[in-house]
Amino acid sequence: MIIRLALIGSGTRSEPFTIDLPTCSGIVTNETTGRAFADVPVSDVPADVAAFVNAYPTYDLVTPLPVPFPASLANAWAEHLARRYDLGNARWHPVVF
Amino acid sequence: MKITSYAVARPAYGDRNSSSTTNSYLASIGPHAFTIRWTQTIAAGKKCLVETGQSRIRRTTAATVLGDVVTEMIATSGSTDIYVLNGFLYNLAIGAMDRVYIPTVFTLFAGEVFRATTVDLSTGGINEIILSSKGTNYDA
Repeated sequence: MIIRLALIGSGTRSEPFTIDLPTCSGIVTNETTGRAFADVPVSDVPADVAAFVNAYPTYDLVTPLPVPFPASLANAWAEHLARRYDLGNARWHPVVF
Repeated sequence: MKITSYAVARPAYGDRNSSSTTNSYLASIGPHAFTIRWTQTIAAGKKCLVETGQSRIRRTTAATVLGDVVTEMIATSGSTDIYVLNGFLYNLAIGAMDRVYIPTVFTLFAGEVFRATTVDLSTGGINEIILSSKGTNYDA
């Protein structure tokens, strides 16, 4: 599913702009606003995060969300990814933005 | 009497809970810093056979000041980066194109990351960039 997320990185070779997710494609960025669209596998997105994304649709990389992404959902998403990939210390903290 | 061995061969990778995995990026884009366009991480207990992939860069609008336009596909194991594919265009002519393919199939193991990056160091101008790959995920 397409999700608008917070961009991380500085745009250098060692720290390219990206999204804090283990798997995603079609990343389109706006470095000025710090936002990016990405196609994220449905299996990597918990149902409550998907519900939030569907409740607050985004159409560009500029307009802020009407409500901030709740920290509880962010933590739940990080835990979901850690369980699903089960790669020890690997941790991702994606934020709908 | 029929005798059957207990030593049954392990199923081929394609029969071990396999699924296709595709990574894609297609955009007409101006100058930009190093940006990851897709990422694939192999989960515990899985492997991925990367079967094909390509990069295509085609200039659609001339730049004011020409710079390198680069695409990269990188497989990372631990802290080691392996450059699987490099696309490179340094040409002002509209329609100038660079197209490269991943030269061979290869296997990604659990914890390894496969990613694609683009950068355009020109001033002005637009390039159409395609970066795609296809593989098969399966139980290790």
